[in-house]
Amino acid sequence: MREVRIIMGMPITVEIVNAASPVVINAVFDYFAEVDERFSTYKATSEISRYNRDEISVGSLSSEMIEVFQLASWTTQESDGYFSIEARDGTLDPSGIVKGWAIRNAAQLIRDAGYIDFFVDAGGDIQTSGVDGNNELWRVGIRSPFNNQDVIKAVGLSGQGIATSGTYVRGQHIYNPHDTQKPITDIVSLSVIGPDILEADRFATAAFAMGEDGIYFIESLPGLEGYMVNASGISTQTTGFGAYICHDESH
Amino acid sequence: MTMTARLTTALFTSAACAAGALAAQPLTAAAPPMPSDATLQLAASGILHDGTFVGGTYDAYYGNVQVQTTVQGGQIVASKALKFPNRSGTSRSINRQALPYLLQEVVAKQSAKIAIISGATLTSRAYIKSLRDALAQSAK
Repeated sequence: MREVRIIMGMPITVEIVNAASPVVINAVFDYFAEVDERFSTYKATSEISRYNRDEISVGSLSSEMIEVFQLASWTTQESDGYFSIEARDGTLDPSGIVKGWAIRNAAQLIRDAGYIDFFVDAGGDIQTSGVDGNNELWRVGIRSPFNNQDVIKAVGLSGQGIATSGTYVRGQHIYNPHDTQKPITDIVSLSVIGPDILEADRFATAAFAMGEDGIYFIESLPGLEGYMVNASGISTQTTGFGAYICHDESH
Repeated sequence: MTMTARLTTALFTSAACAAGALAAQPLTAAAPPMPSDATLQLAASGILHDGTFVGGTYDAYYGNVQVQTTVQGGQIVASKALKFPNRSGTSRSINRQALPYLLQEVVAKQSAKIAIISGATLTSRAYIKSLRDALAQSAK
């Protein structure tokens, strides 16, 4: 059973293999809606917006908010300050960590209901579990940063999470006006596979902010693998990434 | 089949992830995450005034996004990002000589069967917010 809904401004897809009823899937969507109500900086009434306007004190924050702040703080430390939920105006925007955290919690909700084979995909960040309807690994494509319709890599996952950070708004006409011969090495996409989606997501976000060095940061972290693409269309992958790759059938 | 047996099967097929036994499935919500927001529907309702409008600047986490949109005959004919995240100046002191050589390749379109797609969404939200501003100006 697979269902897609738009929540938090992005498509969220949940598939549970052989789900007997839509009850669990509905509970997952309700959970995402609840997270959005609490954490969206786009909603004036959310807890985070009220906190940013000094309408609530630290002492009266929800345990969920405290947990997310704590996770953000750890990630800031683990990434040498490259990850931060503090915006330029001093307000807090935890969206860089909330998505991965919410997907991980949604996956636990499905496991607690007794299901093993499923995935949760929120706007391209994915937690896989078990196997697909054909008893095979979940095959996840990495979207091309240059063409929305294309996939540039396929990986087989079972239990891992995969998150992609990127700047796709730049479009396809990328060149250095000062030196048209010089390849542009700006990073346009970085996908990270981790033991769960929260780990994959928070480190993908932090590593992306490091630019070209981000892939070396992922390489240095045990249990994480990465696939980075620069503006010239050159990818760099960590040493263990190849083990996940599904090759084209024509090969 | 037991859980262990199923996972063994899965891990076995992973070695030859090209087995191709997976039936083609429709790509998951491949459309970009555009909101079905009332403001964006203004474009469809034909009450936009012609001109070029610039939206506000929004933080897309990696940097700022600002959108300019051009309306002609009540239709959006062009939208582009005037500002987009670009942290190419960011550097980090990593001793690469101490790190292993990492495999590089030219990216190419793949045709392997897939069930799900991983891609980025963070900037699109800031983009939409700025576009919404520009459209609100056009609708005045």
